[in-house]
Amino acid sequence: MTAKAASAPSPFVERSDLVSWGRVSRGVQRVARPGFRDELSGLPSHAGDESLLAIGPRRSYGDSCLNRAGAVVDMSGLDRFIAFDAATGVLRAEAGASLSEILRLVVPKGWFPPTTPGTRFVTLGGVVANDVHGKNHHGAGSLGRHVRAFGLLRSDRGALTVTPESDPALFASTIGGLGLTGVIEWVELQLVKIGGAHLDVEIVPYDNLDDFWSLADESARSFEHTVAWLDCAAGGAGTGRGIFSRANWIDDGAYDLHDDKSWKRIPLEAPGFALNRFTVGAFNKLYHRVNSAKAGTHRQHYAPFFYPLDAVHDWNRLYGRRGMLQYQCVIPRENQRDAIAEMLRVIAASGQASFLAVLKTFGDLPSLGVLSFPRPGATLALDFPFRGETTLNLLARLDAMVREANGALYPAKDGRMSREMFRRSFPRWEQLLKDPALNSDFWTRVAQ
Amino acid sequence: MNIESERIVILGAGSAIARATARLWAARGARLVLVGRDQDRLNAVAADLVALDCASADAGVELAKMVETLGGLDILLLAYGVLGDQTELERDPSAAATLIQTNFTSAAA
Repeated sequence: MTAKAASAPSPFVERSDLVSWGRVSRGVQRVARPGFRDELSGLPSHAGDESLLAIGPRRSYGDSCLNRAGAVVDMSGLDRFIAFDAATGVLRAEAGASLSEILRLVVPKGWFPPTTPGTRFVTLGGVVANDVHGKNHHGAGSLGRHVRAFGLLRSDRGALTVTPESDPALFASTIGGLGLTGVIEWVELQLVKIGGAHLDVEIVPYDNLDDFWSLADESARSFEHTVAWLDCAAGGAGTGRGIFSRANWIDDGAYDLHDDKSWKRIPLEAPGFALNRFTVGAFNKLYHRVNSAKAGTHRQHYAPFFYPLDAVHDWNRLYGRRGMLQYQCVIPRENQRDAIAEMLRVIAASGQASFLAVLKTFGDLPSLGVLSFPRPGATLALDFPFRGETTLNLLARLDAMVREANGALYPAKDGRMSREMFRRSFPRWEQLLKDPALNSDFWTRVAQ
Repeated sequence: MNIESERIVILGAGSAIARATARLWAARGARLVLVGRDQDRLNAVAADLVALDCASADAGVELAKMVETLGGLDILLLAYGVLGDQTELERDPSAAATLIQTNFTSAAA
């Protein structure tokens, strides 16, 4: 008999192609991809002294989903459904299950996630770790409010089942906790009932920010979903002009599903000049015009309404090899009008106006997480093609305005905020019950 | 082919290839029996398929019924195997024999 080698091969491999959605941060990353939950507990011993971070498809824009000083655990193989009760709408699934797969299961049975971010290619673990919000924030709050329980694997306490009652502090730390409080193994979520897969969508073009605030106030009362797309190139009296979109579900019993196969792909990274000032301005004007032409009410499937950019797979490649930075802030209600107007003026004047700009008012329902981003006020989100110092300087100016207005930045979108900005955005950050064996590039940057 | 009427046994049901195949079959309403070495993993795979509408079934009873009326078994997917250490296999005939037995003939044993 031949003696067999005792040690199993390391589950970690080195990859240089792992980037986050903004594609700015690059480098080699050690990755393991388990296929079953029982493999998770063995990973720390293979990682040695290195820290770990569980990640999904890396739809976070900056460095909160990277851990190059340590290693990452790609959770995409842990995407099984554990239980779904079609009578109560309670779904339990492994953390790597994508919203897209979940929709396929639950929509035909008349259920929908309680709130959804602007892409369905995110995982359950990710939406919990970032306490995501959606167009219905004014009525539903952020996602963490609808989490009934989750399984958490901690290096110091083993496998735990956490509910808001069983361990309030660990629950509040993990909701929006950027995956740093333990590996989220599974999540149990309360879904909401829908009467069909379509919405009555009303498109209202508006001319300036004052009109936006009026529309937002008026619409929050009678529409479940509200959001506005802005033309960031517009300055002067037209500052903040855009398209206001508001919608309610239709109860017509038509539960048709989305299609993940008819993607349009961006075949290669677009050259940097594809998104210069002229093309972005032209795009935004065109978008305004096209949607003005569509003004009024029409029936729309949930996929184009909630996930318009999912129709163009890898749209982030449009920004070229240097990638892009996203900037998303929230401004408290008492300061929102002045601060957002000032920020939009600076952005328009900079000529770096972004391809996408979204403005949305948040409601009063409190977010549950220690590091949750949503709070009463308004949130503005924009993309900037990365042009080095020029871009960073502009964002630093925006930071100063956000700070002045007592606002906050969104870690899921960030790859550059200062430690001071992070600590001001999340004054309770030191209460986070971090797992000592976990870490991320983001956390190293802002908290250590 | 009308997969709804198909009765399928998957050997090595914990493998990734088996899982992907089983999901496709389950979504179309096939009746599946999962066979593998690790009961916890099989339970995880089975729970996922049950959520996807593959009817819950007691594998032992189901398999016995299929054996009883062997004509009723429509598809058997053999989805396990080992790669082995190439150098060792070239050197050690008994190791090679074991691997061949595992990969090619064990299912019929």
